Amino acid sequence: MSAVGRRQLLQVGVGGAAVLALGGASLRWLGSGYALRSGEVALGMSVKQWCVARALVEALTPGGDGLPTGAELGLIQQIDEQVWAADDGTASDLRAALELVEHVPPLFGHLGRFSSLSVAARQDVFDRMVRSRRDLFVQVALGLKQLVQICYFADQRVWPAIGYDGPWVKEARPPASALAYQKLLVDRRGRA
Amino acid sequence: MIRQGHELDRDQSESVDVCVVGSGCGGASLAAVLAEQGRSVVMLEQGGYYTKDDFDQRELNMLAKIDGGRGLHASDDVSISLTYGNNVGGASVHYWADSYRTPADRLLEWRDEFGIRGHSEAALAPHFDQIERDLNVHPASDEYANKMNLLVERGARQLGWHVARVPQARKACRASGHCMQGCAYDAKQSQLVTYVPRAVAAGARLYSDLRAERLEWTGRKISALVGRVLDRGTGRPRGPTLRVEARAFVIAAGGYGTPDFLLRQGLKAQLPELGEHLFVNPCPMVHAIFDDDIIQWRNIPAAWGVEEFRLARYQGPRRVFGRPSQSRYLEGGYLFMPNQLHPGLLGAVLPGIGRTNTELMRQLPKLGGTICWIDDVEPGRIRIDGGRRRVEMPLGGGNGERLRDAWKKQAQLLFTVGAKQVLFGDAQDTRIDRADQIESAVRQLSIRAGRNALGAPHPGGGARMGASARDSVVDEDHRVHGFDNLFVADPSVFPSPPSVDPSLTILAFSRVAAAAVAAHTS
Repeated sequence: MSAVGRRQLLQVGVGGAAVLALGGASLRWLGSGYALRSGEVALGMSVKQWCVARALVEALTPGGDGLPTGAELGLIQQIDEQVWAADDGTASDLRAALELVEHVPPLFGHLGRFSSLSVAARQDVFDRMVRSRRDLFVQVALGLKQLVQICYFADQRVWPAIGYDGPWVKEARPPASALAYQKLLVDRRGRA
Repeated sequence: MIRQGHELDRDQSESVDVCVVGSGCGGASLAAVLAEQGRSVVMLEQGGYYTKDDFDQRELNMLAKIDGGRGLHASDDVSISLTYGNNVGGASVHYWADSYRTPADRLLEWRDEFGIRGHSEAALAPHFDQIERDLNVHPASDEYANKMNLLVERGARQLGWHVARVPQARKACRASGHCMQGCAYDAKQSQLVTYVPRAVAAGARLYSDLRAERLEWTGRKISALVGRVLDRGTGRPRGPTLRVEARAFVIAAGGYGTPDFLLRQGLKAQLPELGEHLFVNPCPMVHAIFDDDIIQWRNIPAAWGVEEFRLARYQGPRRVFGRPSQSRYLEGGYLFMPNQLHPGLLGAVLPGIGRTNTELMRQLPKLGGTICWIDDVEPGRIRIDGGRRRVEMPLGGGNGERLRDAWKKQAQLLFTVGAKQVLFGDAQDTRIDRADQIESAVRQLSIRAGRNALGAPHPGGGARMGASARDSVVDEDHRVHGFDNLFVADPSVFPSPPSVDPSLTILAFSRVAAAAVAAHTS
């Protein structure tokens, strides 16, 4: 077992990866060049984290052959909701994990930020992270992969392509957290 | 009467005989016994109150409603996903309804190795009899065995392994296969439809969305417990509080929740064993692709279970939880079950990135698998760090030996019943096509942090029972050492894992605890 806690690992990892990736470039650079697209509203994640999540969703849920892409399903918003609704510690871990992913590609042979790579390059980075000998990279990659994939395959629009016949009862009132998130989302969009 | 958090808009107070924290197997059964004996009882439940109409069989909706941490909580090194309930009825609302009595050998071990008295097979028998009547516990009959179950039964028989029908707590089950999302038909006999309504019918008052925060005490006597109403939408506290004065206080917040709550009271100094000796039944899964459809997601999860390996075999004396041993491990130390996952969770735990993963999921109907509940021998611990709960579980040593053996035996059975390919679901995406590859594949599986998708559905041990505060947290009356009127009634008190699904053991132990609380409040 790791001698240090998960949060410390992530914090150390983010800093270490950033230093390695940038060679001491200014911290301001770390947060620059990110923007939401029209209609996107981030409540649980920062704009930068949203952009990394978007890149991640594109890499992990490419769709095809009857499967929708995660982006088509609005998976990034779903992930934002999961981060927003998580307890403080879990949300902090997820945000740190996204920050780490953004700056690790140089360690795995790809120059540039994760969100600026091609989908194929992102998949390669992620695959190398999962297979890495460094616990931190495995933990981060598998944790994020599981979050994306549970949201993807739990979506009923995916089920016809995988042969799942779905629930036997009609959908109930959504969870209170989903209602609260949607209300905030509507409010924010109304103000925009 | 059940009052939900949104109904409370100002501070409230209660004065009762017994205050119970938690409404799962431990809290609800104890509350029902005491309320039916005429005690005034208040129950506090941190999670929400939901009924069958809220259980819509959608994985994300149900994780948000009834799963602690929304399915996102993990052990400190992210090796193990922590599964626990966060709703009225506790984890029994999402459990598989597997309902075993505590094996006699384990009760003897608890007596002989840990000095536990008052919980013998004979002492618990009348409690088990009553619980089994109340929950309609019966062996799973043939109509509840899906194809994966039948393969497990057939494979075990071919291999000469002892396999048996799994005792189930169900009535008129519709076999939808959505047990883990809460039963939409009230067929599964969870606490939500059994002891919670009985407690309420007998006059107990239950507050949901209410987090127990602080005990107040002088010397050996707890005088009050203060809880705070949570906003169900955000999971965060909002204004109102509930202050409960009682003659006895029972903490039944579950294997993770009870040590957490007691640690937050600052009791570690006087109870050094608090949060130690944790076990979680880590569960390794093995997946397989078959030629024919399996449809693992329908019917009940486990109608047949392999009991051959429940007890580990050693060359030399048997190893006891938390004790060093020179004996050489041979095999076993787990219950072996068919697995049942719906596509969200299955997609999350299957290996592969992008198309590699989706290609597997396209074969969903032909995907089957098995799962083992490892009977931990190496203890973990719970601690509070900067206000956050940390769960540390070692997977090496004796636990690692059992994990590897469980992977091997699962692969062996899956090939025996015709699997085309077996997948271990690890980070390296280890797959094999023949049984003669099992040994080398399992030898190379890494059990380092985060490399396997392991669940942890059965936590306990963090407030274990024993003779004194030097080696335990509660005495054989479930009373916390150093206090006259503070009790624990959940799996936290078990000195080691019960080696089977713990629900019936929790229920029976809680009835013993109820007798002690009744005596205190008579």
